[in-house]
Amino acid sequence: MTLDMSVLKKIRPLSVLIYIVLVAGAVFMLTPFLWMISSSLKDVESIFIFPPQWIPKEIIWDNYAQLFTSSYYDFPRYYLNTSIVVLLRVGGMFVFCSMAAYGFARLDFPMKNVLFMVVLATLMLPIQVLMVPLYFEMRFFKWINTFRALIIPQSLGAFGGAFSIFLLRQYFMALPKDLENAAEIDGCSIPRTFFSVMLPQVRMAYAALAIFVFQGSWNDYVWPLIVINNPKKYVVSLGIALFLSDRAALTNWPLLMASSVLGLVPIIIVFLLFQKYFMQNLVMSGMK
Amino acid sequence: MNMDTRINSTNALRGQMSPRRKLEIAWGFAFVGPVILGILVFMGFPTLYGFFISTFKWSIIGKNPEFIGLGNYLRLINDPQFLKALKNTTVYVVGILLFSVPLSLLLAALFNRKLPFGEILKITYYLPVITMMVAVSMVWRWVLSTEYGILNYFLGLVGIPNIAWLNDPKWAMPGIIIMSIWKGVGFNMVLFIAGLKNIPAMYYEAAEIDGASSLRQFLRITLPLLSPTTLFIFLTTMMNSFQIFEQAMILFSGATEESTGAGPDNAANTIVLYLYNNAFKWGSAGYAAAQAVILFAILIVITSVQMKLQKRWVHYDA
Amino acid sequence: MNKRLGIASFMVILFVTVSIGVFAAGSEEPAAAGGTVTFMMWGGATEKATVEGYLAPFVEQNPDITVEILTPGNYGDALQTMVAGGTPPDIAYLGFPEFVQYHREGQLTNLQGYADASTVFDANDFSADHLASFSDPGTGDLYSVPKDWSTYVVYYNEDMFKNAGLRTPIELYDRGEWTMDKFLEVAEALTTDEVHGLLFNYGRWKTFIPYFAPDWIQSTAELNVNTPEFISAVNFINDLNVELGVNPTPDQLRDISPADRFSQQKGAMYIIGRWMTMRYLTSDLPFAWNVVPMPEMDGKAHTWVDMVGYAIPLDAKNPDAAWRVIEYLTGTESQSAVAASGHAIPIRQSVANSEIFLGSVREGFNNEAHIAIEDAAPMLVFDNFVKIFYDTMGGQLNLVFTGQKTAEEACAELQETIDDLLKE
Repeated sequence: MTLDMSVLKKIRPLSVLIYIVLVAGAVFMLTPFLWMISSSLKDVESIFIFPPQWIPKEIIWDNYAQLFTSSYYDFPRYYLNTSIVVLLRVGGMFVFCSMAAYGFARLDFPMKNVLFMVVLATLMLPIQVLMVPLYFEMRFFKWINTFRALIIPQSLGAFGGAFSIFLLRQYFMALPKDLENAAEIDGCSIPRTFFSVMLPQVRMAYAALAIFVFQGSWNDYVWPLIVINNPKKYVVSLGIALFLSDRAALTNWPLLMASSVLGLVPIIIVFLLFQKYFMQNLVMSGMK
Repeated sequence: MNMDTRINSTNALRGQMSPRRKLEIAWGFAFVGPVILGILVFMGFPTLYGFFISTFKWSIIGKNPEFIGLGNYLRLINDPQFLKALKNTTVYVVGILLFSVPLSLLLAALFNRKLPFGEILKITYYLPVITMMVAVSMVWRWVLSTEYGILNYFLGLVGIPNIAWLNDPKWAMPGIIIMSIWKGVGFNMVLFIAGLKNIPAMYYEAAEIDGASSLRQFLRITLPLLSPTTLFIFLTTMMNSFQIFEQAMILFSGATEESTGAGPDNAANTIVLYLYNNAFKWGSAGYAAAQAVILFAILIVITSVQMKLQKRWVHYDA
Repeated sequence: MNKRLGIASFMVILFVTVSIGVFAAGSEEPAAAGGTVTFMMWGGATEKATVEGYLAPFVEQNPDITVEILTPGNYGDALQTMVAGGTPPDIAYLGFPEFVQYHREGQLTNLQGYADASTVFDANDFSADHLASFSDPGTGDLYSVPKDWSTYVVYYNEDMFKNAGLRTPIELYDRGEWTMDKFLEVAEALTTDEVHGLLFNYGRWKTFIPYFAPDWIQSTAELNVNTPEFISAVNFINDLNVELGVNPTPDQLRDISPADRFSQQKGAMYIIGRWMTMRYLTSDLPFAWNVVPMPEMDGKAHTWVDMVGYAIPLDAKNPDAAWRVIEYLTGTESQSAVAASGHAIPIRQSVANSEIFLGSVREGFNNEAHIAIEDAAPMLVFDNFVKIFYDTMGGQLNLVFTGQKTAEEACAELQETIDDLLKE
């Protein structure tokens, strides 16, 4: 009893107020998600009951079934396409960005600093600025409507790859030089040292970056919008935006919200599983 | 490390290279080569090519571009729609800097203590950051709906009459800003929290002994010591905000016959959206490329300011 | 030496990895397998299913041709980027205004040769107006085959009229009383707290303009919108809500679309084209409904003609097979299916003017309403059409309808912008 009292004394009214504000804010942050999920399970009429019914009277799974079975909204295909793109982009980051990061961190060669500056400079050149010339370039390569356009530039360090390279380079630089010296004495060649000695040392950084690249690729909209216009090659974000061109469906809120839920579920699952890494990434990015 | 590099490089120039050294150079190039190639092909070349295109009257489906020199740029400065897009984008950037950044600092300050379920609350604020902009924009079409939207419902509780967020030119940009605050506040919040953690506790302990109030501590200790983080957040937020595109496009598309996504009276038109529409809806690739060049110039200015200021901060620290 | 070999083999491996990545990831469709025709169309899920229905007999009769239907988002942008990218579909929907722009850029295949050689295509069974809209104005060669057409009519909820003890629009029409005044009068009479007497999508403002300003398009390079006539047309539309309260506000129509309002019995009359019949037939409305022509004003009724054609882009991979699909879809068999589905008015006059169309949908359905206004013709396509008509005019007039500007202000501003855009 006395213990409880002392705890209560410590809690000042101001702290309680702050806490209430934070909780209220959190509710505001969650409201759109809750409405999204609840609407995706309603029929069209009950959407406009006001104030909203948070738990639908009758749960209608058919909205999701439509997105998976209709030939118009081909979400299984969008998921498959997105997965291919995401996996290969993550893979590309593993191979090319980490090699470059290692090169910049631990190998010594002429013009290294200049080249590294070039890599860093790309951070201020977003894809939005290059939309038009890049579209022409993709057309020249005949990559329009292929996954190549979605995968290769990003795998080779363009558009955000610089961030991965920068972070991995920090990690490699922090590793003790003895590791390589020991490998050299053992007669390991440079690539062997890299692949079998150095890479395993930065596993954690990889995990964090994989999630980062996953998030960026999964959510990507601008670039696919420009280079992909064949629905067979659509990624999930384009599939959701398909609603904008069907005015009858645009007011079919349940279907629209079901599609939005489908766009969010994978990334939210990954986030909740690995949320430490997400925040860690962000903090690392803040330190540059 | 840096010293080493320099010595090695000069040695290399003198041609006194051991075989191991030669190999290292070769491998160095081999390791960074693919990425450098990718950057040159997919970013370097398009940058130059963009300048080139911008000097042509170039229809995206047409076959014969016509060289017009600075014609597209002259047209830009006389194009009320472009100037409006420029203005809207600036309003957006200022809005985000004025509201989103301080709000995230406030949240970070509030979270910078032990709270029951603090981690879960923090995750809640961070959740919108990781989500797909297209998907959440679709939901915000409802949040901002005049008669059925939850935002007007909340505002109605405190007696504010319905606002036509998506149909009234005055409210279109504020609507987008509110949505973007919701989407992005958690991002800067986490950065600020990290910045706060880096402030040594001894400063506060000393202030506590002097009997300084929390507000005074915040103003005298937190803000000055946090300023490198704040500067970084300000400038990156500014850079990212100038590129706003998807929110406007999704929120304002498809409702009426026009599908430019520029909103009522083009009140939600932004630089990138106008650029996109010019290139891919109206097919004027050259004109769009000129707009991209302007956007590029803006981003370069911000970056160079960032570099200048950062150097100065480093100076102060030393 | 050995080390160099190592580097070389490393580079080779790298190159191979990249190439495999490139080709595995690209895995483009196998190059034109005999008769695959890609067919790009707009419209939602219902329209896609309907078109698949039209094609079913063709696919059965022509096993050598596979038709692959594409329904991208942002149709106009997607078609443009596909054409620009040199990977266009074999067949694409093109509205008649867009047709003009694509044809001017030389991006469409000349179909005259196909048409002359065809035993299915019959120019005499098309309206000369319709064909002319899709032909080169100089040579007269056909560059696109009109697929069907639509006019705007008034859909009405018959039960609401009967319950209110009013004569239905079709009765009024038959008595020669279907005038604009009467139209507005019944709209007002049927408006209650829950129901709007009229549903009119402001984006389709074009429907009412000819009643007031039939000559607003002077030529391809001259438009007159800052005239008392045009302004009164805009005010007329605006007053449907502001003065009379019979039509919802743009905001209300954004939340629940007019199509949904009509089917949910929140509106008594709805001005829209034939394609809405397709949707209402599939959703089985729980009340009696019918259509009637647009009302008369000063002894004359006006409507708007929408027309869409099938085009074969110049870079299409399989133009021959594409023509066979087009020929079939614009033939009498397929056009009879168009009549039955409620999709549009058949382009073949022998179908449109016969029982196949006039007796379609159900007994007593007033199909004639769609072709009642005889001089209805597609509008002249002026320069920079898409940007002026949809983006600029649509946007500016919407400001009037949302109460941001007066019609006078909007039209004056619009005239300036349009004059600039026409020069572009």
